[in-house]
Amino acid sequence: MRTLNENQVEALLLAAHEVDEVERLLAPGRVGWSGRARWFAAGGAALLAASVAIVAGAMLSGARGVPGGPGTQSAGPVPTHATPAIATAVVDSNTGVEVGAEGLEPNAKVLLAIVGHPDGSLRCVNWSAGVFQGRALSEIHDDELKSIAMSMLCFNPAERMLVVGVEGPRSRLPMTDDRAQELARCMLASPGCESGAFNAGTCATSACLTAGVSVRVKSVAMTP
Amino acid sequence: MDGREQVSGESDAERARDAGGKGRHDGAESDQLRAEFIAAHDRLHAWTLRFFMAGAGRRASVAEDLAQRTWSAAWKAVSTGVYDPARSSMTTFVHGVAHTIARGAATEFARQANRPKRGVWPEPEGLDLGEEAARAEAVDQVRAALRGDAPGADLTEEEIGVLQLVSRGLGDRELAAQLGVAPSTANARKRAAIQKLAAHLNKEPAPTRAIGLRFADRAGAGERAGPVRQSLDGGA
Repeated sequence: MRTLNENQVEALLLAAHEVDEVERLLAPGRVGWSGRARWFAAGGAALLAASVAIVAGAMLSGARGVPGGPGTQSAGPVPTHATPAIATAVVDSNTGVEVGAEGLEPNAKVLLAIVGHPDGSLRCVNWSAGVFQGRALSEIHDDELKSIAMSMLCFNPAERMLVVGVEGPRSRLPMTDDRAQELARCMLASPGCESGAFNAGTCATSACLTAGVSVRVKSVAMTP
Repeated sequence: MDGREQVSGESDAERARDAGGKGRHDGAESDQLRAEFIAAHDRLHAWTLRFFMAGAGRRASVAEDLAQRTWSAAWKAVSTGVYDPARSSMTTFVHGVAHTIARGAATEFARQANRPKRGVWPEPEGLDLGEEAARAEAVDQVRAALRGDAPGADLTEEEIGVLQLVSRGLGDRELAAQLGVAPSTANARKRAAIQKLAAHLNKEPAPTRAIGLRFADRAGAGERAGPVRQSLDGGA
């Protein structure tokens, strides 16, 4: 038994109305420009306080050249009504330059070169979204995959490198430093990804990635 | 690096394809969940982007990263069974998660304002997926009541009308103008309707987890700020 007081119920009422508004927005043909404009106005007002802080942080990130500068055009799945294309950017963590046509592809690819400590924690990870131009992940030969990953090695001498290639909708891929680190930590800690008991199939099906992506993993052991 | 590296294992591309994640769900159930999740993502992702775009001053890269976090968290909740799509709508759940992540981002940026660090996005602060799932269930119960689809609530049409106005954020004076009564009368009607709805919600089986104190701690008496609006005030 839960006990909601009046204030909590009022808060739920406000949330309920907002969700209904979202549903109305998503319903095909039910909301025109005027309806959307009202929603944007309401949303804009509600988000005003958050935007100040978020923009300040985003400016800090942009100034240092981490992923997030101006760049290519991309957008999420096209909704049922017209939505302006969303300008976004992807910056390769190795080269520091914007990714070009790759960002325009509905299915993007990211390659991660992950180096862990002997205890399984993350030492470093490099990621690149600018590889495999025009080719699907499954079309990349193993030797080429390994070769590219070697060029991305972030720590030397490394005993082992975990190579993870991911392909799918851009929104589901780790295309920022933090997301890449998050995925790397998760992969290193997942069953089948361990150094001594690597199993590609098990490692590739770890719960580290969102649904709807393809993944290839390789464990590269390097001996001096 | 000296040419003696050795590939100790590799996946079959076909077998490894579409390996989204596996939590408590296995086999056909997992496939079904994954398919439902992808469908929900495709339907709602544009909204999440627009939502974060509005909050991020139309900085697309920031919005995209926050949207990505939202969907990652949502998938984690689905794949681990913390959130059950059968108990509340995905729209409601994702809506709540997105607001919590927006609040966490605003809080973190405010904190980092004077000591910025590389690695802009921290883990979403205050994101408790179990709590989000519980809240989504409660919100959907309220949505049903607002549609007049909650027979157990025993709400009259007038009371439902009052609740609908309150859900739009109307204060006592605006409510009074809509109802054609004095503000004190409007307030009394509002409280009566809310108490009736609260009684209904409180007698419903508790959702997967009790709703956290987030609401109670922040909704002061007489204030109209709900969880969503509060979440966008920079936390605290």
